[in-house]
Amino acid sequence: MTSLPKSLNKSLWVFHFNAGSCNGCDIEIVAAITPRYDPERFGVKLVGSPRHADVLLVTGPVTKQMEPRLKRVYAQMPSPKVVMAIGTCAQSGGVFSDSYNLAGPVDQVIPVDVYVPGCAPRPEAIINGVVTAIAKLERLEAEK
Amino acid sequence: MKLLTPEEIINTLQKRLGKSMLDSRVQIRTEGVKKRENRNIWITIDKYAVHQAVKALMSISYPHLSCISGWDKGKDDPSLRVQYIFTIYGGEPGAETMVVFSLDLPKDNPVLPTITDLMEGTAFTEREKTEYLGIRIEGLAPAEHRFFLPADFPEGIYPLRKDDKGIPKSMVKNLWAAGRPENRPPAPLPEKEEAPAETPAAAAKDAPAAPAAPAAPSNAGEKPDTKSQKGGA
Amino acid sequence: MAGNVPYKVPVGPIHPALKEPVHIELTVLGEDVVSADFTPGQTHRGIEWMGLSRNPVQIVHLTDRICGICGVTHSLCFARAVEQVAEINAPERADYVRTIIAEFERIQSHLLWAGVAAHELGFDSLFYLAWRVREDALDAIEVITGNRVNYDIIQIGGVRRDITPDMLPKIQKCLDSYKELFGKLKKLFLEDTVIKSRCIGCGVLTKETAAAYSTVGPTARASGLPADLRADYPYCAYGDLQISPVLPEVYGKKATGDTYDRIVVRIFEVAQSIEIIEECLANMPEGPVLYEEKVAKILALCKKASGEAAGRHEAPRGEAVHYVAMNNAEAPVAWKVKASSYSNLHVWPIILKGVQLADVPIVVASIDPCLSCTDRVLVTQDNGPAKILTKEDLSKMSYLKTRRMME
Repeated sequence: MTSLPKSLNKSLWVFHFNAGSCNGCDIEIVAAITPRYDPERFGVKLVGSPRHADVLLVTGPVTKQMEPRLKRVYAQMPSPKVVMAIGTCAQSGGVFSDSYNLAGPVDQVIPVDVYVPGCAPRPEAIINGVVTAIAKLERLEAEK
Repeated sequence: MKLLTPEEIINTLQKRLGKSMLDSRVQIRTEGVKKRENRNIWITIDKYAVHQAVKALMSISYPHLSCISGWDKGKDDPSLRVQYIFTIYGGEPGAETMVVFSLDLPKDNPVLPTITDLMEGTAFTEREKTEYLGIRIEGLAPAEHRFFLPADFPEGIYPLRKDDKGIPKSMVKNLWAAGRPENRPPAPLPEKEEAPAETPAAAAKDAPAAPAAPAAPSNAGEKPDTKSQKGGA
Repeated sequence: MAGNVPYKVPVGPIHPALKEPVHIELTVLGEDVVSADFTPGQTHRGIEWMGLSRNPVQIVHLTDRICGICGVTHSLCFARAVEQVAEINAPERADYVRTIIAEFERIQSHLLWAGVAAHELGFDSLFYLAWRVREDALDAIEVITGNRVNYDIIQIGGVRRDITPDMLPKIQKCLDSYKELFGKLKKLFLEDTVIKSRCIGCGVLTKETAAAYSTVGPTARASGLPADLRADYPYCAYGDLQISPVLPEVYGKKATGDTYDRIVVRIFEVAQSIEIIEECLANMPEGPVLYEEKVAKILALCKKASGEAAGRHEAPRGEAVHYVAMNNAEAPVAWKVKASSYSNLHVWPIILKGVQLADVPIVVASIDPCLSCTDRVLVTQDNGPAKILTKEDLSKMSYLKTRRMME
């Protein structure tokens, strides 16, 4: 576990982008914000607009249609920002690696900071990824 | 309503279809402990008899069309094999019977009649055959946009074809071979041509978080996106 | 709003929180939807095409990832199709394990949907409740398969893992918790005044249209079509059970095919699934769970096989079909996937016609598409400036309507 500061200087808001995923990761992301895990008590929540987000969660191998949209969503986010690639197919294509309609993986399209492997990663793994992202954000803030 | 056995169904269809019914086969499958039977009927018909066959089936019971499927027979045989996967007697406990009409369609003139005049809701799956296999559906108005393939998919390429109209190698990007990037890709910047932020609330929210951001938040990205969606539809 | 000028409202394709992208374009006159059109295909990955260069055992892993919610549906359909072509008979115990996991999937999928529906109505506490209790089903699934989603438990010729006695107490605990909870769920979803007033008579699909459009699953049953593969077409362990399709009549009401009826059907199907699982657990035959344990031998059998078959399964959303043709080769020569939503999506233009804009989210969600709803909405007027609404605005319209009704 990454060590965290005693207090967070801001609540982390997360935007989720489905770039052609099978839903497995997406469902787990939503499961991660529901009462069992309840990261909202730390201020972590899903938001409806990339403009409000600190962290971008990307799932899926990035289909050709989603590539420009992913870039656009990335550009809309305020800096400093952290991108997380959730799930195996966001990182290497997974079972879809030899499809004809892919432009990914995510790290070829936009810069990725945190990788969360798994098919699908458990909510705990996703939350751990977010914690890693917090540490990176803190560092980026400090460097600023 | 008297429920027919698979043999009786085949006989009824045979009477209505005559020579257009090329062959038929009953496939019974049993599973579980009690080994109760589920029934499947496979019928090959002539490509001109689609309409007739569906009508004949409707005379037995109102059918349910699961889907129309199709595949390219490959190098040795320049034709497509199309299946109309129907079931009848849906809702009759233990008696539902699958009836599949198969037919061969030459690739040089892949045309099938629509059956939307018989069953209103079949257009969706018929359109799928046009997009995936290049089968022209006669009597069905061309769709305004694609339903299955993405809007910017190249014209004249049909993914399930195994000939030169199929997927060219150049379209395949092996993601597993891509590896991790040595240099992170450049961060995409928002398009410049648009007016600055329209929603003051959003801009105000972003401002404290990103004073020195190179990718300054603005609404710039939004409009081209929605435009492209409009165009795609 | 403008009087007689129809507005075009494109919706999607990205939703901030849930499920797959789709694009829906609504033409609205004031608040009422005049016509609707939709464009799926945003996440097209060419799965069928990829399958044609893989062997059946590899495809099973691919089928698991067609949909993350129906983790067992597609692999079960595909395995059943290949088994029929290669003349492999799965052991009886495997049929029971398949049935049990399929029913757990139905429970978690219906609860997931119930949560989404509550969210679309602006009833977020109910959304959180549904998703919290859904975790119990995921725990049971994890005990049985080792995974929460994408279970990968199906193999050609059976299942990979057996249900062992030490799992039973955990599974029973989950079932008991649902039995206790069912009355509460029923009360919250079916007796709530707001849900009733928002859903009754909204997004109606008549029985005739449901039949003509070959709709499947809860969508068809809510319109009064008694079709349910589990009752009509004996397969796996379903042939050994007495199952009758759940129709809105179970709640003592006539089927009208509106959004409310679809909620009724799904809530009662959760109860039905619990019964099925208990009956299967009680009557499980002993024996192996795989026809052949060595993958190489399964592949050899598949390579020798030729012919065609269709594997069908009643998924949470309705009938799914996989058509497979093989011809003495490693990879199948044809593979067609018919997912359940495929048969239901195309009624959107019909059920959306005439509803109010604020009702669009719940009507779109009511057929339980493998996608939820909206991201950005653009309201344009042919000769006027465009006004952009966000997904939040549309949700807000839905929430406000709920609030108005509560007053």
